[in-house]
Amino acid sequence: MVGIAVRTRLCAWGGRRLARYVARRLISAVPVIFAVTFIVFLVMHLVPGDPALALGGTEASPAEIAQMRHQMGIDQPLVVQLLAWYEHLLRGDLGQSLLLGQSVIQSILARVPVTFSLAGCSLVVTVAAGIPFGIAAAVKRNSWIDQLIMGTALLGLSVPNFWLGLMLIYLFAVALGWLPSGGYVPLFQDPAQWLRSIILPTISLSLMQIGFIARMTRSSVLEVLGEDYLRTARAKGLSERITVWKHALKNAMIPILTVVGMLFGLLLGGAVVIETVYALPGAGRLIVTGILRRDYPVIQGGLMATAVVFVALNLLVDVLYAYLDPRVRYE
Amino acid sequence: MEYRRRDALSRREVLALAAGGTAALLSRPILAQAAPKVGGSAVVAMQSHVTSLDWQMTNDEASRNVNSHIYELLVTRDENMKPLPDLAERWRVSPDGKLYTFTLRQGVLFHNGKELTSADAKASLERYGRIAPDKAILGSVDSIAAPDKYTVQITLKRALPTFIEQLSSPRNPAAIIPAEDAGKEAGKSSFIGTGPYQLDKSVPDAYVSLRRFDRYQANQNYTKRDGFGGRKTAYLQAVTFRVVPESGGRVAGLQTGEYDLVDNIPVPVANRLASDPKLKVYRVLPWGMLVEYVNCAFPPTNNLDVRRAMQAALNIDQISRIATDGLYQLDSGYQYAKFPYYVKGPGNDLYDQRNAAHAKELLAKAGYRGETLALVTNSDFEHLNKATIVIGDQLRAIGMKVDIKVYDWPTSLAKLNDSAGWNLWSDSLGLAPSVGDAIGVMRRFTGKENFQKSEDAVLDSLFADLTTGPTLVARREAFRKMQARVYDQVYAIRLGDEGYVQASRSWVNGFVPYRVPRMWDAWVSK
Repeated sequence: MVGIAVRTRLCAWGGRRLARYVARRLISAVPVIFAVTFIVFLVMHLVPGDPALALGGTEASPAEIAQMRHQMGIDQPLVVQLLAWYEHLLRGDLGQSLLLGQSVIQSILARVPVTFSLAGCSLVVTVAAGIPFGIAAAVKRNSWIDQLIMGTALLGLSVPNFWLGLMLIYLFAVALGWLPSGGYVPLFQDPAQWLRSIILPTISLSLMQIGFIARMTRSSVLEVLGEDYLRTARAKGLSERITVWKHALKNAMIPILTVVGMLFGLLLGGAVVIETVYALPGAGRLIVTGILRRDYPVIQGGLMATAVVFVALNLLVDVLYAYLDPRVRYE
Repeated sequence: MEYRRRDALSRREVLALAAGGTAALLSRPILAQAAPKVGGSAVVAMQSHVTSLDWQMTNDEASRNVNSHIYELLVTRDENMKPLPDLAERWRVSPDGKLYTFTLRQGVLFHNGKELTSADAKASLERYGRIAPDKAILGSVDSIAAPDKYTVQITLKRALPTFIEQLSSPRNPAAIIPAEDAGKEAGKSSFIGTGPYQLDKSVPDAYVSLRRFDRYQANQNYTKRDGFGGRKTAYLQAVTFRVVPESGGRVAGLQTGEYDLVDNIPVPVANRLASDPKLKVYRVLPWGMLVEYVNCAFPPTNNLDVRRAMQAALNIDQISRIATDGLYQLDSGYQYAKFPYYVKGPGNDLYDQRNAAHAKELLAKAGYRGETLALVTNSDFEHLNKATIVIGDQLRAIGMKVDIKVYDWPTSLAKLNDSAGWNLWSDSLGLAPSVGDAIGVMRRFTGKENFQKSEDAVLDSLFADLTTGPTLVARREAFRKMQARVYDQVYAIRLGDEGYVQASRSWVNGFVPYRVPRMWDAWVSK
């Protein structure tokens, strides 16, 4: 009973420390996000061109362009525009897209499920395939299995994902007719169709990352396998399976976890290309289209949302460190 | 003077295919089609997303593709881009040319079931004059009145013979909407029109779904569709315009049958698809007019002889062929051959000269000493990029030093506004020449904010004649002189005309290519 009480107090103490740690990190994220939006604002307004020009092209007369600028409110001084944006932000409003005819929050929220479906599925596939392949390659190092896995991983890393996407479309949509060539069906509208719509984009996006994670896992596991404590484990008669799965893997997971944390960010970045190839109305495509058309509020809001996601991911990874490695403390 | 509807010619579609090379259906004759039937649905895959479903505030192509199904105008354009009565049955112009009296068609319904009256037309035009990017087309309007339920009167401050041409422009159209919507801000209307299709659902950047407007009142003054107007019949129950940015995705979706019609596919792919019996390929030529603007304020092209040397050197045929993958035509005119303002003569002798020896003489005369020529193009339109690369090679061949600068589209547009930093700027004139808009084409070379960065009083004076000339003959003469001046001063170098390719499943019938993918009068026999 005493032991349980002590453990409970320790857990409560650890929980409070964790909460304080998370709160501190969240507070420190505020200036980061503020800085991101400020820099994005400055950079986007320093880049030549504006949404009225992009929309009007050479067909529109100077008077039309001026009219569009006025309607968009981009004929105001930069400081006025910046202050207006922050004022809206404090009220939880990211402004109105200049070209989409809806609010930035609406635009982002409508697209987040698409991008998160794609990035999330790709993350699951990447981790589910990459880590076992990496472990197998490490355990069977220098064998034909190792060479096959590492050779395939290199191939996966080398193939551009837009090209792979088009090839998969031609194979599975055009030639075999098994899967749709593009478009997105929301999960809650029709789960089966959602799955069909997300399979090819997921494979296209995750193949490169599977190779990356497999190589990373192999190298990390190999490093751990040479440690003294594993020699001890083997010396005391533990089977190779228990040695690897119970002792080696947990230690090898720490650097892999860092990479997996970054991987979600990479997948979000890679989703931009895949969303274009498969005509998925996702957040990546929203931001890129925003940049190409100089839709300032969309760029501002989209990149701010991206910064928030990255901050949250980093925080999550840091918290998970402590779970995997008791030496790590929330300081 | 009174203008009335005219009966559509029974050979309209045949003319549309043949006259001026508007369109050529490659795979099979358009006449071999199943009988029209109501029902079914179609998915159209487009490259770009719709900027707004409030047509009064947009002038982009993707929005036009969709909005032309929802809205109608008082006066629109026919198959050959001439003004055509639409919601207005007829109009009358007073002898002094200032008062236009439009008589509306009776019994026309909005998608909300309300009948169109002169109050709606008046309120729509007044809103257009407030919010439309191209509101300048109503700049000469003094007042708009609705003396009775079906009569609209527009009084101009001064006679403007091109008023109907401008009012019927499909670029940023003066769409007619219910009066209740007229007080709403740009982009905030209810997206209600009188067209054959009404809005069902719109997911920005993904798709716009339209459904058949069952109570649509087709224009009985015509026997069939004609351009943006005529007698439109909605056979399809639903039409979805889906945004598919990647051409490979559009083509794949067409091949699998997910899309019934796809817009803008690469020419080499079209050549491959043309042999597929399940598909129809449509080539539209001309679609865009390729032009290089020349900066007359920035050395070395501030020297007329240098500009003339470039004009003499270029092999326009080669540039256009490579840029368009072979879907092009050569023409020196700044209008297309089928339109009223077309004049071939002026400048024809200066077009596609391929005379390197003469070019070198002119460079020597100009005292050219190897100054760098900055060619600005963009990464968004591959054909313009390719044209610039070939131009660069040809100019290097006559001893010029060339630097090609590739920007994204908005940046390149910003560069065009600068009077320094560029010498040639590549463009494709899309809508203006395609609708016979002589003013829209020549506007670029006039006024203070001209593209050649050099004000020209001669051109400005001629432009005034082009805009206000009392007769078409007078205005055409002004246009002829302007074209001659642009060639003589080398304010721009005219390249070829580019084409455009669309494709559909063979089960799509009745589709005839036009400036927008008209899904009215099209039906499917799946």
